[in-house]
Amino acid sequence: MTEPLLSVRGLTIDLPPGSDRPHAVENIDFDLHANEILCLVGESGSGKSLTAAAVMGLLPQPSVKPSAGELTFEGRNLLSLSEGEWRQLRGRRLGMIFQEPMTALNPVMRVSDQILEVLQAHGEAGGMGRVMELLNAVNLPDPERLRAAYPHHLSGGQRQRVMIAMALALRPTILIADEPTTALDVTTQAQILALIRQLQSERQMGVLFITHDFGVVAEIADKVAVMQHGRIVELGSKHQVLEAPRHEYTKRLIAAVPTLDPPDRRPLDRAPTVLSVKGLGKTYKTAGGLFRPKRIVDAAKNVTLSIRKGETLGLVGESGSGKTTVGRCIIRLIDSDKGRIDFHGVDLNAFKGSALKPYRKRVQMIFQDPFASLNPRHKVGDIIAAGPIAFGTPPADAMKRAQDLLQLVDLDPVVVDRYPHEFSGGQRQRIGIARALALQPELLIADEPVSALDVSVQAQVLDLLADIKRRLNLSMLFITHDLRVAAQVCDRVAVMYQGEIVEQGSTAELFRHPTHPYTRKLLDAIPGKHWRTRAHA
Amino acid sequence: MGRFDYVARRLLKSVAILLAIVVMNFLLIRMAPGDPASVIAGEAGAADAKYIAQLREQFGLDQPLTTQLALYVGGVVQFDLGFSYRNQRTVASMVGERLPATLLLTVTAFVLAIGIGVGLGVLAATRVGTWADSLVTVAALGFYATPLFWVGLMAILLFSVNLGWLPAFGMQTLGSQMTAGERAVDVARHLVLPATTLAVFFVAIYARLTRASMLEVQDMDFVRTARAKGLAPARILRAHTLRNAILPVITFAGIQAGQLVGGSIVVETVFAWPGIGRLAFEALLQRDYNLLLGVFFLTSVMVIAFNLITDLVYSMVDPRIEVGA
Repeated sequence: MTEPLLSVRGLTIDLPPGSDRPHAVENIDFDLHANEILCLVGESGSGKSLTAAAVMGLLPQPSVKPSAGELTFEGRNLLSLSEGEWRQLRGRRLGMIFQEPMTALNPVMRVSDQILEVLQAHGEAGGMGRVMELLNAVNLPDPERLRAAYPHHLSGGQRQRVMIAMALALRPTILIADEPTTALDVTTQAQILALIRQLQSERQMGVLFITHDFGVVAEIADKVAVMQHGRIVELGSKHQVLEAPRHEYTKRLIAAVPTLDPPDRRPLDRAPTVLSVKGLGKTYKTAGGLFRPKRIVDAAKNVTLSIRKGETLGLVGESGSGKTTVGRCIIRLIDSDKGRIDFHGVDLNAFKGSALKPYRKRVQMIFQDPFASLNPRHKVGDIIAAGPIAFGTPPADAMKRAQDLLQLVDLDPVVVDRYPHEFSGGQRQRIGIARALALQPELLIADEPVSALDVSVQAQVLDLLADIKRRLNLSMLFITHDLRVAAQVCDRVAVMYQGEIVEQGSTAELFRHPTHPYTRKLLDAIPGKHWRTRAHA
Repeated sequence: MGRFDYVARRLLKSVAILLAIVVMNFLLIRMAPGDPASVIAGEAGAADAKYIAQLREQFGLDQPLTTQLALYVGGVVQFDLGFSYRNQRTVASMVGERLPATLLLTVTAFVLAIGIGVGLGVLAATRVGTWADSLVTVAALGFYATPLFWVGLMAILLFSVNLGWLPAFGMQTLGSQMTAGERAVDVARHLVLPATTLAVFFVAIYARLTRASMLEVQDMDFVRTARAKGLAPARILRAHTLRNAILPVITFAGIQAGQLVGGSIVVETVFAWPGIGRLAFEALLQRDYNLLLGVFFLTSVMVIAFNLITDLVYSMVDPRIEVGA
């Protein structure tokens, strides 16, 4: 075995007093070799990002600091470096890319200047010519035009390419990638992963790749380290960890990843139709001015779909495809411009204001962000009971029902007197589900209900939704960008692309025999798509 | 959509706003009791009804209000701000004479306020939690809470009366033979106290704003990116933190420019600075309608111009603001 590039031994990182545990990272060991991608995988709070920050010397000191261990890189212990010595390493020997391409670039500086800055800071020659070469190397279209571009002119994927160009400008021996594709659409993610893979093997770099997504691990890793509560619980080759996990936690995490094989479902052809949407259209216009042209965006074009009693229809697509617009038009949070929304045969678009009220309680929504969608100043009981009280239920009865609902979503009924901030993300989403169920709706619109949750919590919330749906015989419009989730949850799936539904059909049929090129592209881009389909089905 | 179109559109809007201001000022002044005829007649000791009616006819005050308004607006459109009967001069010549002094005072105060305020804010933010930070924060709070006229009076007491370092009032030493260079130094010495007094309040605001904004930007992802690139701390501070932290300060400065013009009335009065602020004060006491309206018109033009300049500067400093988009 060759000498490792980076050797981590007994690394312990302290958290400030009063945190939920004393150490963010506790006594971890791993080696990173040249020409190797090591994935650090774990759920939020497992300490993986702080481990990466420690390797870059970017811990938020003094509140969080390494207290023991050694990080050996090129014969030196990184933990004993002065700030000046760190600056020599960062950018030159150690490159890093971050999760959020939207915020990781300086918004008021040209991207070309931000790359140039790295060369200048380390006294590297080449200037703008070298910057153009780098932009070429990360396959950005039209580098000449990019010379004058600011970050807001670029898409998320393009920004992440700029970040990569910047991190690799000085040919570092180690690249640290902290969730570099988490904020990207699935097709963009596939391209960025391929680019990292390609550059890594061209340059024989060692890559420390932080992720929470086992699909991404399956796609890119050579070696995998699984982290839980600040410890590495399992370390091995990709094959070994993914196919024959030994640690209980690894097994649990892997089992929680939805497979891409849709289960066979009985068709619901005979159930009555609950919702039927025909030719729905929604156009966003920004008003023009005296000298200003109007801007028109078709968020939904001629959308036609229907949902039967007890059926879950998945609405899948990438960001900006119009999924959420369709959901909000159906629940009448926004008004559509065209088309019919028939709910039990009555066109909801014919009603306005208070005339809609009787229908409001029959269609309810579950929102994506469990942190932002619950009023932080209201108690959980009040949040759940507010709907029924608005519809005339006596407050005492509504509160009793709120307690029953909390029990239904596996929370202790005594929590009615607590505030949302006292709960974890998964618990909050359960509260959000209880709130939606409080009015005994017939149709639920779930807008990315699990995409903000860790994979094990996601599995629990999905199980809960499936259980409730079956018990109450609910219909559901399930909006998601995650095709793995869609495969497991939905009876039928509709694929949206640029405001239009390009293909819809039974989940099994659509996943096995996609007909539209965009559907094929989406399915193709799923990270680790060959993992856990044939072998584990 | 270019910058030129944007400026053209903003100028058109500004003209409409100015006209509305002119009309409103005209009507508001007419609502106040007393008019120039009664003040002049009273001072002449001949306040009988006949004389006042004669003066009113002479000044055109006997016409219906709408006619007077139409005449006045018609004049303003042609840059004719009317005639001050009290001073027997055109209003344009009077305000034109005073404008340079006010511009000198407000622009100097503005530059001082931004320069010192941002400087102190950066100092405090980069040394957060130290005595320097506490000193800046407490001093800023003190200046913020102190009335302008009191600061002015105390400054005169300390620097002119007790220490004798700087002149206490006026814009220049009267009746002395001076070369152009000597005159410039003389005006600068006269400018120090009033400009600093006017700036102090705004220094406090900008220091606090800059400090808060810097602390917020310091924790942003792109600052971490800059560190990951191995940049030197000074470079990170200048090109990344301050460059972004300055944006809210610029927005605020645009809004504050109007208050600066307002504050100059107090400061000009305290320091006997021969600007339009003092002219306004005198015109008010004399019920000199046309002169007062002329001063109001000019200050509105200044406020609108300050705002337009700020917006343009902002669009240059922040590329995300695409003018006209």
